Amino acid sequence: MRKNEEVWPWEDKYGDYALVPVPKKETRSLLTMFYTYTGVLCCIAALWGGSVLGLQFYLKDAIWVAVVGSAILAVIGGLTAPIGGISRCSTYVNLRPAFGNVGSQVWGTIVSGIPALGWFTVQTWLFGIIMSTIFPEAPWATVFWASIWGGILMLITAYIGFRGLAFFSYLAVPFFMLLAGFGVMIGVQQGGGFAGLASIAPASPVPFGVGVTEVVGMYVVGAIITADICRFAKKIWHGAAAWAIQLMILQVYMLSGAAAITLVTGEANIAGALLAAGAGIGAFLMAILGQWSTNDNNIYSTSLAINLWAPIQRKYIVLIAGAIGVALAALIARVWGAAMEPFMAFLTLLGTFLPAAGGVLIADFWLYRWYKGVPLRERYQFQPGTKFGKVNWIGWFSAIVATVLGKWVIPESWGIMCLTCLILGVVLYIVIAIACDKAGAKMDLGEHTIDKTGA
Amino acid sequence: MEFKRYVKISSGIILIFPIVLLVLAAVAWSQNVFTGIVYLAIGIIQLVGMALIFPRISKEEDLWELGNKCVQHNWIVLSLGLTGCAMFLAPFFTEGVGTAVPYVAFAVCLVTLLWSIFNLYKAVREAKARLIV
Repeated sequence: MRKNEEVWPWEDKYGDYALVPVPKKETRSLLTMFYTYTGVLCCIAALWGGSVLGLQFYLKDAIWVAVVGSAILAVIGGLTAPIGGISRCSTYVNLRPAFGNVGSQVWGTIVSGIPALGWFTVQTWLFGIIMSTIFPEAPWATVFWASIWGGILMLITAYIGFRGLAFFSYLAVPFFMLLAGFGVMIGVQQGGGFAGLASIAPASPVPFGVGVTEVVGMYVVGAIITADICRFAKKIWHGAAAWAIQLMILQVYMLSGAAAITLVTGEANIAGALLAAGAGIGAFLMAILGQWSTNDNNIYSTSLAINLWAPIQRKYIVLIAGAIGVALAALIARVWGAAMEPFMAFLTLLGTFLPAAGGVLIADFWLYRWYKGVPLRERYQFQPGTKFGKVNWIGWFSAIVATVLGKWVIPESWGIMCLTCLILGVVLYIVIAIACDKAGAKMDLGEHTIDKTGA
Repeated sequence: MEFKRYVKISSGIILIFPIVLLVLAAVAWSQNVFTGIVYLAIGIIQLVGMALIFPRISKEEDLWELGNKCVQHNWIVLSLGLTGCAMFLAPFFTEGVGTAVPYVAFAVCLVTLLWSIFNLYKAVREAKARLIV
């Protein structure tokens, strides 16, 4: 039995174990991990990502791009998920050793709090677009109004917490996956069978690496914050396994399916294509359930990140941040209408700036603790009274320099930009940390002691 | 144990419905292979999802664990039943096949949907199982 299971010395003041380890009795099965992760994956934006591949590659190449991109994401998530499984804490609490207490607040907000809120906004706006496509004449389904009521719906399960997310994923995941399969069948039928589909030339071909970058960039944030979900896993390996399975099977399936439909129809709007092909109410439900099961996770992650410095109940953060996100989505709908450019620009931005912090976290947990001789299961075992630096300057320095180098110095042709940033984050952190350790230099500035509420 | 017996009988009866879907898949396949694949997918996943409950509960003596396992399998049946209800009456499934096959499939999915909801209720009420396991 692990140390923090014998006695659970914490007080869950902010709700849903936002700042404290999840107690053993609250852990859930591998199936729940799988459903909840897949719930994040099941969204129209992921299908749009596949549609982009359909515009750029032959079907066979699109499948390979999806496989390689998903494998890279599986490795990244495979490194971050066990951190949550061992510590049973959220990503932002886990950032404390590598960035310091203030560092975890700042970086948690930068790495996940703001981007996840941005994702929530974009997905809410996307929901509005899909509704207006399906019901072009209905006044309640304009991009503006659908963004508002859709966004409010999505806040419900995030407000409840992990149980709400998992419950909704149970309902939405099989539905979404089968409807995506339905879409593939429509595509294959219209394309003249599997042989005909394979021979359709893409409209705007790009190099293989560009496609892989798009796939990785699309979900790299999710790969870094896997701990938010798998801290609830019964066993340490459950999170990594669930993460890898959903990527290697379901993400590949979804991206390839969407690419197939786009190759046949030239249509990037999957819900619209499904409706045109006779999917009926299924297209409508697919839009609602898919966007909902993804977007509740976004605002949930935002609430966990912000809870690190905002001493109020997590559910109230969901409401406040959610209101901001819904208002922004409605504003985007007013300003940009149904244009795709803001979405694509947002994806590019995410793929560039966020992974370095994940690299630092991975380096601190897997390499630096190993170098210090800490056994795997004893790493990140936080207790009331555990001391952290206020700022771990090596974490800050490594993440900033890695991002600057990956974004502006190293040519894009050298590899996948977000992966470059992540690897640079790992290398810089471990090299500087070991050098400081050998030289006897301090990593931490100031000191913070956590109390029994985890604050 | 009364609840275990209920789970076994109930799961056994539910198993009949995906088998019906597989028969419908065979009928639809001859008319339109692409709709046949969708019938097949839902039928197989429901069948396997429900059939696996038998080996998992065969040696289970703890009522709470039994309830949790019952919840897991019935969630799969429920969500697939919901999917079938939403899809099978769509124009894509009725073109060229007529309305009889899709309507039977819809009815089958509706029954499994309602039955699995009842099973979830039973598991939570009688075995004090968790709805999120």
